[in-house]
Amino acid sequence: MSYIGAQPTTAAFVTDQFSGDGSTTVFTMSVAPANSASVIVAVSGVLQDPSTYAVSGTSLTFSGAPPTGTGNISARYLGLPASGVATTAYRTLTEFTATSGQTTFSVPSYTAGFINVYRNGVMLGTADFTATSGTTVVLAAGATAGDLVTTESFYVSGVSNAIPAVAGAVNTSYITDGAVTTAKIDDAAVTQAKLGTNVAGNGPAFSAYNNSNISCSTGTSTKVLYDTERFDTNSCFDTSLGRFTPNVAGYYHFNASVYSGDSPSNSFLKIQKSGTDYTRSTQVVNDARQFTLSVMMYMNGTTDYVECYFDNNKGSTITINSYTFTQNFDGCLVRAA
Amino acid sequence: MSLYQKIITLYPELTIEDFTSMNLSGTITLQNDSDGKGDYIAKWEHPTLARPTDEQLESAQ
Repeated sequence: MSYIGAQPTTAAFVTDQFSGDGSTTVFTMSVAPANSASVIVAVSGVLQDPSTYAVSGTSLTFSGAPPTGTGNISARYLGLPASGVATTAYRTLTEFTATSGQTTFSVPSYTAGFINVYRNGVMLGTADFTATSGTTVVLAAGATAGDLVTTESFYVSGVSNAIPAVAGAVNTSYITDGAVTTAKIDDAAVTQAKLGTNVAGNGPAFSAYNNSNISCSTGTSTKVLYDTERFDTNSCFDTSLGRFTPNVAGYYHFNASVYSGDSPSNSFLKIQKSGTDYTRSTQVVNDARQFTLSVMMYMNGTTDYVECYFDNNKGSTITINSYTFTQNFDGCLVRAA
Repeated sequence: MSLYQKIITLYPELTIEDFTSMNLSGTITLQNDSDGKGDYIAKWEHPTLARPTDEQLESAQ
């Protein structure tokens, strides 16, 4: 047939055939159409309305089981390349000048069943060549030297498997395990609700002790200067001030303790939040040497801070000793805000 | 002599119960921030006694 302009090129649509058994309703297709409107389904030669079947991935599900029959179900896919999808060329025309007796020709990648072969301009029938490897064409009979062998190959998998640009089209099966890096996740985007059970956070935590004696006048609240850190994960503890200023908002648990060999009975250890008394220890009257305190409080993650003070009420100056074993101030984030 | 002792010297009627270090409802708070500056009056809300001046504290023995 003659054409005005270039000869039209055509390719068959990918078709699957299934055999019904009267009970099976789900069949696995070789491609994943975008939706039920992207595939023409016929049962026993009768075109099916798209409302009678559904498509999900490569599953074709009928609302009712097709009848028994060998190859009586056909699914023909109407996949068209999605805009912007990068894929191997769909159609490739390749010409060879044959040598005497040449039968094998290496052609660009193609999908088996989607290749036309011409010899000196005459299209060969399917019995005249074999093209199943995806990369070669083998003529049934050797060519004559100088024969012009032309292959018109099609690569359709990239088109049929293109992910449609519709919401919900991409699921985890299309993402390689381990492919999503943290760089793809916005800072602070992972919420507490997305954490599994028994997963500890990495909020601020610190532990410090006082490595110097501290003199405390009676009737006076004297800051306990915990001046040495054991650890300070977020650099929120200031040893020069004995002050913890967390940089993450949330609920914190604090422990504090002091020891004085001067037995400052009637005295207290207390924690101040941002300069205001927040809580203090039990008052011990007789021969009190060790004072301990624990508390939970909310910290805003910016300006709130905590410090410890010792209220000496013995009636004379006492000394808080520099025992690392007994002088502790530590805390950590228990729950984010 | 500590600041507390000077205040007690100036006002013998005061007791430890007037200081918040002992009594949360006390009206006088003495504090030391361990910054080398020593004890100071952080709060003076006594209903009848005036806050002592620096001069009075200096002279108290």
